[in-house]
Amino acid sequence: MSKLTRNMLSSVLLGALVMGSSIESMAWSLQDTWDKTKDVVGETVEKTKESVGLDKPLGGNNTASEQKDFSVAEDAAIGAVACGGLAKVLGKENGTVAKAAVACGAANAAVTVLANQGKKEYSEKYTQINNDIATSETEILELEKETAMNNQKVSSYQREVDSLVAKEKDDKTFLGKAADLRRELDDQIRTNKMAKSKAEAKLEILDKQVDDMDEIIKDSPDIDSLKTTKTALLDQKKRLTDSVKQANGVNDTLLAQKSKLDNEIIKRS
Amino acid sequence: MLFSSVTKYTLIPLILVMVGCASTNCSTNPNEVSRLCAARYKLGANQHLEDHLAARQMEADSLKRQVEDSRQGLEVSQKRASDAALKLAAVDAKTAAVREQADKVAAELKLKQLDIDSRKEDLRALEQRIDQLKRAKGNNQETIAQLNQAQRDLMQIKQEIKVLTDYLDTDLLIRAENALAYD
Repeated sequence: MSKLTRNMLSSVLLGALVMGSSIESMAWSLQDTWDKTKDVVGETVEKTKESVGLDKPLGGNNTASEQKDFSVAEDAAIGAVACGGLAKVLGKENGTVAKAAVACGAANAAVTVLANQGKKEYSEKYTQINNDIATSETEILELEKETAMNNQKVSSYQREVDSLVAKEKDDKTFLGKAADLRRELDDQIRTNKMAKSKAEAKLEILDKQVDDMDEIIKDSPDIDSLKTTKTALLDQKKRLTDSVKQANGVNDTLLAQKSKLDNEIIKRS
Repeated sequence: MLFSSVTKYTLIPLILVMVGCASTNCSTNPNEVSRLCAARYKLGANQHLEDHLAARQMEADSLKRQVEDSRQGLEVSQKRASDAALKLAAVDAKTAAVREQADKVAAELKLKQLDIDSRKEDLRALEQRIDQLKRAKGNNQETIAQLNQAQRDLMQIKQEIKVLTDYLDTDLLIRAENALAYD
């Protein structure tokens, strides 16, 4: 066997060994994650049942109640495991995993309760709202990050304008630098307006979802998790309103800087 | 022979079931419908969706027309500002004070022209958004909310254009004419 063949063979064997052990360790870690998730989530199913109001005795036909109870609890568990599992895989703290599991379990169970009560339209609307909450959360976090970044930039532009106006003595140099800075301010104002516009469009959707929740709650006031969902929507709405307010403040400050720069440009022209 | 047996035992009952179902009124409860009736419901829902899409596209077209009108208004203002700036640049001032006055008005005219360009850029970005929304399929509430937002943004841009053109017409262009009159 030549040296080259021996080298190649040992490389292939080493590669296979590394790949095999990686797959094995990944499988063990997934199994471990799943087991931990199930432990955390298992404790939350009972809380979920409480949250959706299943711990209260159900009146009426016993057989139907039992069937309904079983199906609802099962759906609660499915929702809890799914959301808790996702939170766990995403590396969240145990408390957060449990919280996510309770919320999703309760929501899943409430959907089943609404469907069992023959309120198909409400059940569909509620499912949609619950699905949207997670997407909205990501969008709101992005918007909050963008607003915070725009806020930081405003302070930096303020310093730049002040420094240019106060320190640049040569008019020609000033006019050149001021033209560039003015363009940057204009771009920043546009970026800020876009962020504000996105937040306002999202607010319109949240407003409608809150109205929908009011309608569903009015019809099924006994389901506690509906109120939890409405509270979550109101919280998202509040955060977005804050973002819009901040964006308005940022825009006003940027416009004031632009105006200051314009006055100086005219004065020195 | 084989074909006739298949026809007799399979196809004919199937056709009868289908005709029967098609001629039967569908239940008003969407949970209790046959597959054929469910398909008919789906067609109805599709028609509903089509109506929504058509309405949304008309709304988008109307917004685009308004964007175009605003753009034309801006072009007129920009032409007037540009003409005045050119005349001011050609001022052969008899005194330094007149020259200084003409320079300041010319500088402000230049800044306002930049603002007009900026508003034109806003309109262009808005038009792009409206085009995207017009092309969007499906009837999700997000597209509708974004179209409503585009309408609000257009109102805002129109308001900014009005402030800009009012200032040009009632102040700056008059000052430009005065500066030229002193030449």
